[in-house]
Amino acid sequence: MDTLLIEKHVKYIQSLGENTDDLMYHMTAHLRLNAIYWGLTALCIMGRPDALVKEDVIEFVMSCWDDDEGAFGAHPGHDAHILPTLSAIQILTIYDALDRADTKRIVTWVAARQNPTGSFSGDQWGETDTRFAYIAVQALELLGRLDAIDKDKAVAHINRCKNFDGGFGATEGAESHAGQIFVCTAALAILDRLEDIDQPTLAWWLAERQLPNGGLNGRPEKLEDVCYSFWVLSALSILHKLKWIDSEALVKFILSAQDPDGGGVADRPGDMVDVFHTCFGICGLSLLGYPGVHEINPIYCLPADVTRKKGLHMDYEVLGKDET
Amino acid sequence: MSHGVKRTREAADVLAARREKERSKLQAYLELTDDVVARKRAAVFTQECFDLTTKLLGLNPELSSVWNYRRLILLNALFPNLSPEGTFSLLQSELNFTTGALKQYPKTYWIWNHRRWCLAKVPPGPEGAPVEKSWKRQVWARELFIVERMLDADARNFHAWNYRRYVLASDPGLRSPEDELAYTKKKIEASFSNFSAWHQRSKVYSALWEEGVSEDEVRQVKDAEFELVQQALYTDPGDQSAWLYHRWLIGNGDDTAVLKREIANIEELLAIEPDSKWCLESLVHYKRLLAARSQPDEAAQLSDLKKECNTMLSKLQTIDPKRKARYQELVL
Amino acid sequence: MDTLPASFDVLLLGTSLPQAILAAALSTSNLTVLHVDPSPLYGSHDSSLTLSDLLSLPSHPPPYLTQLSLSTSPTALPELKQTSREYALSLRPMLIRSFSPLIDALVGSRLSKQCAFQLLQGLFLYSPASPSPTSTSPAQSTAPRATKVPASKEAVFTSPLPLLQKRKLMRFLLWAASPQPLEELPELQGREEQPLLQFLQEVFAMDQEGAQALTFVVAQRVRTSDPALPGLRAIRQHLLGSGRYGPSAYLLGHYGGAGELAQLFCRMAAVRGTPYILQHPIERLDLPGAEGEEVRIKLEGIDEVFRAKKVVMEPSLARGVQQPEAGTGTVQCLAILEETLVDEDENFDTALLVFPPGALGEQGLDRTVTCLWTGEGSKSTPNGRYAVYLSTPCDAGEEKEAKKLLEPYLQAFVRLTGKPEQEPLLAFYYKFLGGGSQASGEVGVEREREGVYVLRGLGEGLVDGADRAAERRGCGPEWKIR
Repeated sequence: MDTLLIEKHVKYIQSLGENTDDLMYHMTAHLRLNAIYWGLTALCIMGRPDALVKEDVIEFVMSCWDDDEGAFGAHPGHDAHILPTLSAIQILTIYDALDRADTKRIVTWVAARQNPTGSFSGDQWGETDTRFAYIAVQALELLGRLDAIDKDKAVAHINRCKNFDGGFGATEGAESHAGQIFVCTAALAILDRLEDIDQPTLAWWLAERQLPNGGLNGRPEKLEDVCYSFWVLSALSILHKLKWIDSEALVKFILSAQDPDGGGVADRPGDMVDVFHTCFGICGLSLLGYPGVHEINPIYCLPADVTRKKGLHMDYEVLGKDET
Repeated sequence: MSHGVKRTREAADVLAARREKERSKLQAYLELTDDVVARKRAAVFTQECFDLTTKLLGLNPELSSVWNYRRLILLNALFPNLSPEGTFSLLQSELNFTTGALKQYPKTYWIWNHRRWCLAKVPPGPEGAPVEKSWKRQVWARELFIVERMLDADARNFHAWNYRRYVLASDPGLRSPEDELAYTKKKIEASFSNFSAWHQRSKVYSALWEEGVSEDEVRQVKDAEFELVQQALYTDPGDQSAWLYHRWLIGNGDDTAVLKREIANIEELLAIEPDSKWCLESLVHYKRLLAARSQPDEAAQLSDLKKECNTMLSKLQTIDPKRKARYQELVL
Repeated sequence: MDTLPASFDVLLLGTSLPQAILAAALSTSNLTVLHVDPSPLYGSHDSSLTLSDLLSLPSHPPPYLTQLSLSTSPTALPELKQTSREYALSLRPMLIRSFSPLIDALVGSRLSKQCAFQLLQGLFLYSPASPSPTSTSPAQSTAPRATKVPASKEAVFTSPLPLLQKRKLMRFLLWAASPQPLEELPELQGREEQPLLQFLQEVFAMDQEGAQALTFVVAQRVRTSDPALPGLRAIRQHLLGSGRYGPSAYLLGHYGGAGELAQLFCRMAAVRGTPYILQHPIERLDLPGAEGEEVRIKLEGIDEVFRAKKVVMEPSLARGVQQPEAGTGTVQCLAILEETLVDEDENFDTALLVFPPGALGEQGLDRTVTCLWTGEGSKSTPNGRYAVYLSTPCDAGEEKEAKKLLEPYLQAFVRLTGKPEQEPLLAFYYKFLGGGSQASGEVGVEREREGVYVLRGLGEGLVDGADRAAERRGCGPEWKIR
């Protein structure tokens, strides 16, 4: 497997909505909106944005609207939460269909998730996590209403989640984790506060995520996993330090995690594929300058042409892009 | 999202057979889901609805809306009719329910969340009891016990570590910082690759020192920590965890005496492990710190440090080619 | 017995662990099997014994024991008799490696769900009174001592070894655990036959004590001259097992170990339809004299004469075939003590101490003596009592009796315990015939003649018996029993 099996992956993503007689399909309903966003993003990066029926997708997104709350749930009938709300906004942004949603109410709802300490909760029940700060910041930026929150307080909270190794955790005191580093770095990029990061230390820590087999782990002394390809890479890309890892070895590792028969990408070679790892594997390849795929904007994890059109932050590195 | 599940290819007939077998299960699951969603939409809050959420969450704990519904039933229908004792006992059974779920799904956010919510609702009591006998203390002590079992099963589960910090912060009387240091040491001794435990140790010390401790005392503690981490460095110089902790102990290198001593110690290790990447990497970092702190009259020393760093950086390019570009950039 | 057929494909005589595993394996084949043991207990010489069982042994010893010498402290005898059933003792104790064919057999057959184990809590090396001048150990002392042997990353990390020794030891352990076949490692080329002890000192610059610990404790070698390659294999197996079920590379079965496991395998065979006849002595056993003849067995109290095409016998039950030589087997001592090794914060309930060759000087032997003890944690003794097992392989031409050989070792051990002045409550010395794996090379089942097989040489160490027992599993075809 030394090439990206685009046709297989497109078919795999298209087939995801067809397994409605499979128990697993229904057991993952809580991720449905996220799954559509992952699938659609992967398709855009593979140059096949039309592989899903746009009208059907938008209609499904709108069916997840929680009118009591004024935000999106993961599935029709589910309560609003900040995670699917961002997915909905991202899908509508890709399709240039934000006008279909009541963005005013969304802005109010998202802004109301900010706590007095500056942190963000996922919903009215109160769990806080730096992921939610990133989501709120990106969602409001996509809606052009970043002014709706206290940005300084948001930055201060993210900074309080910073550790001596340069990384960030989910909450104050939490261990650095590549996923949380991605969200904090990207949030600070959107908030124009990248100078708050201890960049040499963080980029060093990120570079040390690469293991002898080329794959990346998410924390010291843990196993490699394709999803970290994107989280580590996106942060390195925002810090313009992609060259600090061996991109050739990582490309090889991601490609080896493909399912050559059914399509899709797994967490590591030989494992079951899913749309989450498929999306982040392909996005990782995009940052590594893999030929024939489109550019991902790692700050938003959205196709670069979408963010360019909207005039969003574009200061990041993609391998091979500026050299030729 | 599936992690670590081996890929198996089902032949068409096997797949069909599995689906046939699962059909009734699927039917029952969908009916139950629809039923619960309909009741929730109609804002029905009864014991019967509560029991249905128990059943559904037992099948799928990822349904955050159902956890939400469950809490609404507790708030609207069950708590109002209960004495503080009754509320406490109901919350205890609620906690037991999530303990069972966590055993099966140790990384599901919603289960941990529900637990936190329950704990916040525990009423003070029993009336007139001292702190040690209060219900709060009882539940927090139990939380600590459970989270330690979770960390026995997976010493790197960050949900469990985060939860642990939350428990300790919620009832500071439960564990002294010294107890927590002993706990992290036990975890480190069981496996010093467990960076989560080293990280927690660094946080406990940081908190202690913020309360105001004399410099002497800090230095004494740090010396003992250097001693501990050195045992790990010699046992396995390739293990990142110990090197990261060492770097935390050094910090920005303001204590140049300690910085010089540690440089010498690592050089001793390097002498017997000349190809140790982490020895070289750390030496480069510490010597650069030292260089940045050298006095204007130490120009010769500064130039030596630079030279030594450059030599090591060029060696690192050969022994750790994956990060070659970084070493090249760091050459002065 | 009316329902039993008169004729079988295979007759198994004796229910020791290897026979039991064979019975379980054969029960899934198409062969008909009859399993017979004259003893009332499952396990033959592997049986778990109560204290009363043990006390009655000298009056009618089984054929595989000689040189029996049993003494009890008169004051302790009433207590020992009263608590007899709280003891599960073994005449040949067995340690199971966490990574071994026996574990595979237990897990594969799902029997592991029905038994429980205790992890061995420590491995110790006995160091004699005057330390050698080359020793760089920090705890230099003139008194004899037991040093805990670290043989995993975590144990090395927490051990009191000096830093440089830690590094040397870890470098060796990493080398030994590398995934490459040992034969291909350049450091070993041309040195495969070199004594392991010497190899470790020359190639890995180990000091005397470190090399001894690895050779005699971790690799469980017996003699100073034992060659490197097999020893390194044992070390690799040790490292693979360490951490698999906890911080030790060895497990010990609850309730006496092998006897309990033998019973489990027999029960599995019985559930699958193998008939069992226990507690009926053999009245007559006719082995085939010529090709095509059948085995015939007549048991006391049963009228029917059973016939079988083939028979697999334990040596002690093998009439009419060659008995093991007197020089093969192990010299053993089983003692009951009130206290064992204690550490500052640990009471080692179940652990192993190894006396290296020459440990006791003139008084001692030029081969290792192992000292395994089991306590309440392994469900084999009552609280506050420990079964201590000393063992060493027989040497051809040995003149001294078992008691003479091992008594100095028992005394040396007692002096190291938390109660150095204690008198053993019981001390039982004996020679166990019929081990001798090293002499006969590949062990297992020897084909005596057409249709007749005898279990031979199941190892003289604490672990090889268990490993070899399990290697018999699924070997119906290899034995060409069909």
